[in-house]
Amino acid sequence: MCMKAFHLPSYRLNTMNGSGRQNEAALAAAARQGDKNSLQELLRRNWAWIKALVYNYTGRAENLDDILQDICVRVIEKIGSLREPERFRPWLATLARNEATAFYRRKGHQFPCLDPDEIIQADEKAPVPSEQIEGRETMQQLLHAIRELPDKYREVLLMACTEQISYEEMAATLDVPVTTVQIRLVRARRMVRQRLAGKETTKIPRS
Amino acid sequence: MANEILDILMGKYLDGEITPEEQRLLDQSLAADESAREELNQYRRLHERLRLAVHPALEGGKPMEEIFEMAWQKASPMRRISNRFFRREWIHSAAGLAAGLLLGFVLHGMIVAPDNSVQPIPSPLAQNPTQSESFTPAGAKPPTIPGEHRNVDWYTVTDPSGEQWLLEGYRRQHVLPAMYYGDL
Repeated sequence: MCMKAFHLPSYRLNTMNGSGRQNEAALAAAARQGDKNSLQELLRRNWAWIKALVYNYTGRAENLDDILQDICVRVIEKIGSLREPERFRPWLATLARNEATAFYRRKGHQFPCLDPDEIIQADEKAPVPSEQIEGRETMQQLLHAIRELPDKYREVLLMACTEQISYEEMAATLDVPVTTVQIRLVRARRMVRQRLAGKETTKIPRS
Repeated sequence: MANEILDILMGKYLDGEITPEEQRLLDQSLAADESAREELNQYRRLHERLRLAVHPALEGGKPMEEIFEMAWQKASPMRRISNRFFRREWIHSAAGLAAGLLLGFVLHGMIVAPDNSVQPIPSPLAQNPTQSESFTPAGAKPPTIPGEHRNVDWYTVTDPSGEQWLLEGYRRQHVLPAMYYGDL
């Protein structure tokens, strides 16, 4: 076996270092005072995982922009009530979750979740090499397996898929320790793998 | 190596979070265990397919700047102004001071201020006719009252208009109006 096959360069720099966190807290403090540019910059930095979080709850691409706009409106209106600027991320995550659920309640929809057919249609339009797609049936099984995951496991799995958020940032956003994020990701992947292997289980695999 | 730790290392490797030291440990495990290599390959395929599945939704849509501008227009202007106003530190200080004053007045009214309801004050001397009715504070000794109070001396004072007052005298030379609850 050639061991080099397992070496990949680390493609993400850790962006949530001390100064990054301070900068974000400073931006949040300025945004609290009504500074539009600071608020926009804050949202731009956190946009990828907000999208993943909303997508985790809605599972549909069609309404994503509408929900994101609602979230922005709420952030603009509520940023003044943020007590601790250094805890902007968990505050934003809670607000985003609430808006996603409120959106579907307002529209009178059942709470949807990762519609495999819709994702496959979108996926077929995407310019990806055909050899990377192993077939519709397998993809459907994969998405069904993801859909069956408990919320907290699906949440971290989708956030990791954005590839724009580090474990440390995820931990700060979800207000949990970094080790919890790592373990949730491991268990989420293990559950998906077990389901794909035909092992239907409601138990969370621990080891 | 324990399965969970190996899985965490694989996850960190796939997510680009692995440190050089962890990479070395992972390489050792993979070199020694073929099933671990197969497992990593499965995780890698899963990771790629998952990315392919969700990327169209996460990468598509309107640009963030456009959505933010629309939201800025849509957000209530009054809310934006009130955010600025209510974040001022002096507003918080003034609100705290006002709340403190209000609380002080309320407590004063409840605890310190005398009860305004008119209650006839029975003179303790009426129970002891041997004591003088014109008892005054100057050089006076407190009357003996059944059920003696250890820290408070009671006595009566007659003001120039002839009204008689029941007073309590604290030992530290304080003289305060008596609180009467109707059951001396």
